[in-house]
Amino acid sequence: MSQQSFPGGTSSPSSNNDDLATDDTTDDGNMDDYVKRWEERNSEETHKAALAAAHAHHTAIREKALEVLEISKLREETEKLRQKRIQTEERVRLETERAMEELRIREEENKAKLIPKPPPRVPTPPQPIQQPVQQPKQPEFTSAPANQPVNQLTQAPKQASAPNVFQSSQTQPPPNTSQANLKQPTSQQTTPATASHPMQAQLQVSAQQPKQAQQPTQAPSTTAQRPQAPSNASQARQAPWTARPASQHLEEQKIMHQSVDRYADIHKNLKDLRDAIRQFGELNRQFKNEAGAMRRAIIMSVGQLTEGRGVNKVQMQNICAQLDASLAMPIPPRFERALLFNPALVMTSTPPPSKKEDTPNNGDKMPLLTIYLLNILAKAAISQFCTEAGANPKAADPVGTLIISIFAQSKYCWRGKSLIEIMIAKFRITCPVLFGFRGNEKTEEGRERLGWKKDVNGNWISEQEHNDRMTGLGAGWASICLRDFSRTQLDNPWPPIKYWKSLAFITNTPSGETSSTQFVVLKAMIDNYTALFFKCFGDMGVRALHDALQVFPRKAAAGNVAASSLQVLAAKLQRDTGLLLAVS
Amino acid sequence: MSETPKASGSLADRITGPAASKLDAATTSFTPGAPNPSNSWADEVASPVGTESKRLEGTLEEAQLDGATAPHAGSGLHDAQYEVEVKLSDIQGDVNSPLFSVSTFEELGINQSILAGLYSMNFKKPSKIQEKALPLLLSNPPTNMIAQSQSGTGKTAAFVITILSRLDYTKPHQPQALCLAPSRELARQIEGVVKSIGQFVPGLTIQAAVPGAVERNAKVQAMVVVGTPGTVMDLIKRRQFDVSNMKVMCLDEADNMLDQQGLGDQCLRVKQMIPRIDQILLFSATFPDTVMRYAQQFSPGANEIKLKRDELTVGGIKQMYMDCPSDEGKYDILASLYGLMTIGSSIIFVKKKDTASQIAARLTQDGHKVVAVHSAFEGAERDSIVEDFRSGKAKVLITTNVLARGIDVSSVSMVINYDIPMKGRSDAEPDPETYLHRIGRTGRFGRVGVSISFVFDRKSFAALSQIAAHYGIDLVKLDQDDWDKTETIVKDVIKSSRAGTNLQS
Repeated sequence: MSQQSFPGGTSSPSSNNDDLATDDTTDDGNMDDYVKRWEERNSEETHKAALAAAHAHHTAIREKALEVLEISKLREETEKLRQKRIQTEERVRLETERAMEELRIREEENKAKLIPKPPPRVPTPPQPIQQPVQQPKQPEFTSAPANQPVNQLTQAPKQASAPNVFQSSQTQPPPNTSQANLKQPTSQQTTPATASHPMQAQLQVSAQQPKQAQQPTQAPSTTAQRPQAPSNASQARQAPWTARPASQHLEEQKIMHQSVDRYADIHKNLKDLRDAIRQFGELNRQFKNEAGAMRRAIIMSVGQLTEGRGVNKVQMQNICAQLDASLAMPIPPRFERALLFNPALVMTSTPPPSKKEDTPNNGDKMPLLTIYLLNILAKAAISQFCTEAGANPKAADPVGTLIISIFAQSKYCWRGKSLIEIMIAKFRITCPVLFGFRGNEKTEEGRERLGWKKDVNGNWISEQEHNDRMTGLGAGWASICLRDFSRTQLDNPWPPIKYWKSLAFITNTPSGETSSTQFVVLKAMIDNYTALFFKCFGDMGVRALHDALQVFPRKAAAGNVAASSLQVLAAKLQRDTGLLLAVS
Repeated sequence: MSETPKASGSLADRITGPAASKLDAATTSFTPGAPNPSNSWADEVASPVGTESKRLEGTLEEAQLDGATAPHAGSGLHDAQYEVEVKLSDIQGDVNSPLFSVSTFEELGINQSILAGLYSMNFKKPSKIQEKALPLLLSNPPTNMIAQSQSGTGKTAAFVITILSRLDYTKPHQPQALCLAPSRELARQIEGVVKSIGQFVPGLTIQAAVPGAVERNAKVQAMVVVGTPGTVMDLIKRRQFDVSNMKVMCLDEADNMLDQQGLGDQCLRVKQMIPRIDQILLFSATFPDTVMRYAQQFSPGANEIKLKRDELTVGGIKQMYMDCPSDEGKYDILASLYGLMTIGSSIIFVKKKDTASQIAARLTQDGHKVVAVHSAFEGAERDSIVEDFRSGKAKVLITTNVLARGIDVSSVSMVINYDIPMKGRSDAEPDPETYLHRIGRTGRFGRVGVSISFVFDRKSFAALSQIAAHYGIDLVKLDQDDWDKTETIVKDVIKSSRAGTNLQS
């Protein structure tokens, strides 16, 4: 600060160091100076100097104030961000806890299922063969009152294998069903679908009646269960994608977990269905050729898909044309048993008939050929994922888009519910890690659980081939799950939450149980799909990727190449998109 | 242990040259059934299993908390401790496969930033050629190399890693490595591979020297230059390309370049114009004996990695042929093939340009996205057509022999020999080399691919038979009468294991 003070002013000259020494010992020189200053006290220069000093002083103070303000603003902002981070962390923690609790509940439920129960109530009329057949396969049945949703699931196959011709309405009188039993042997040749389980079919007919009686009581109990589950923040947040009530999500969530083994059943049922088509084709050459032509048309169209907007219209139309033709194909009454199919066999839960007037396929059955072609479509997609997308993951995207848009169309739904679980069942078999399965790649059983394929000679396929398959399937899973339905009227049959779950299943693996397969699948799921993922999940998505790409790879054994490539992916994202995943 | 005579098929045994002992050191753990069990891979495999199962027991509860095992309680971790290790024969069953290796890229001493690029490209382990060649390629002082390996086994990656490892990154504008390829497409492709593998290498510069890519009077100012011999020769002559500091020179598809009169001369001229080269590398899937002698002069004192003739084809490529009623009947049959199996991208090789156009029209009508490349297209246009095919915008490529070699589009799962490749005066004799390179466009890096050759008369049938006899392969016959049956045959052929192929001989 400059020291241009003058006597009489508020600031004393003594504040100046030089003046301090001279003030008391007044000699001539000093006196002169004093006099001079006294005389000039009202001169313009002095005045100006004083003004300048005041101005400088003022500016300095102002600058300091601004600086202080800046700092306090920054501090405030930091504090706000910190609070936000704490909140986010809390939210993540709570959500994780909630998920944990849910899983614990499920664990308990599963344990409960394993508790041996007294012999089940004997349904009327008593069937001696019922117990030995049913119990090993579906123990849940015995604990029916405690596990309604499970019960609902297991109900599907039972209802399904009932002879179809004689079951036009749900309230069929018993005499009719016994008639069906009588007729069965004579018509077995033409009913390959049911022929594979003649026993089951027989007992189902009788089991069906008490089942149906239970149905009214089932409905209230499922709704009563909903409030039990804690509120569900993460799912509510993806509202723009699926503007549906949270309760429905809860239900779906249960289905996804509890029905994992149901998917294996579906997969088996689909194999039976394929046999049924083949057997029928042997009897009817024309049918065989037609089905073959349709199948090849679908396989070709799936192979023609390419990236880009609107470039796959022809292929989509061609596939729909095959499906439409199968729906429209007239079925002579004598073949109805063979050529109609209960879609509940390939679903995890049986939807009730839709109340809407114009719901297509609202009856009990759908044409066998249509389901078969949907199965072929799913198969072609999986195969395309494994081969093409394994080599070039970007090729998965158009296939996934096609799959989800076909399975979302109401004309290929049953009672208004999508048949996409045909597709999911195939994923369950080919890529189990998406459903939370784990295994040690160095053991036979571990590889089996991981979906490691064997060749025709029973040898495991090579590591390279396996990695290719998993890459393609991971990318395929993302391409199906992460679709934006906000601008269509249709319901998303497989919403993005399914992707989140698979991500969680994999990244929550404890460190001793990770496998390269998981890393490979995870990388393929994330690479090329970050934009869609963030669109669905926003900040939570970034957080999830942090876990997936930076925390999870650390759980791998040192030197795991697949885990390293996940970390490289994080580096690539940062380089290409500027995305920083590090969390303080 | 190094010179095990029994593994007659293994590459290691046929490697000659001064650095053979180094190679042995790098691959001590390779030989299957090695006398020293403590060193064998079997033990490495076995040990983690034991410890892991013990650990699993202790954390069973913790494991269940996160729920993955919940849906299938009882089937999962409970029996982990009783799990059976994967049989050694299963892991080592494919020791003779060109993709088999026991080491990792890390063990080969590759720079971290190059490794990141490899991982990003989904490379996980080195292939056999990479495992054998890289220690020799990267050793000091730099030694020349002539390397032969089957199509789609990672030759390009091997020499690109070498190039990236040899560069002096303090001179970003000084050309230090030159890579020559027989066609502009191939040069562009190698450029792409260098960029991909080097994507995390800071300060790397690369430039293509193909017709039309470098402006007149502009200097070539990149560390790595990839080009065709003619263009590179012109650039050096016009002093646009400073070759005073050349560390590596590499010829891809070397036999093809040295064999062809024009290209061979140009390569030689380029080499003579460069004052000093530390390392000369020649790579190809085929090296006919006549070319080999010339190659040894071109790259003196080189380490050599060679293959026997019957090892040349890759087992992953399922080779079939289709008996067509007539030359014209081939159109319909071709169109029908596409429903028989899952096909990613496909390449159709034809002899004449107008056949290419006709097929293109027919397939487009069926909903395929088709591009055609032949000599009628020029420069940049060819680049962009091939780029469309590479990116998957178009999934069917119809071409003449211009693209038979080297083009690597990993998702190609079917190659059609619409016309059997012929050579000589008025196409008198079959051309097995071209056949091999053509079918090598599929089955890249261990993937399964299908090749179908069309025959329709005595001449084409005889030619194909000779090619099959040349390589000692069995071709499966397909029938156009019953597509259901053909579909089953194709499925079975695709599924069939490699046991029946020459890989395990």
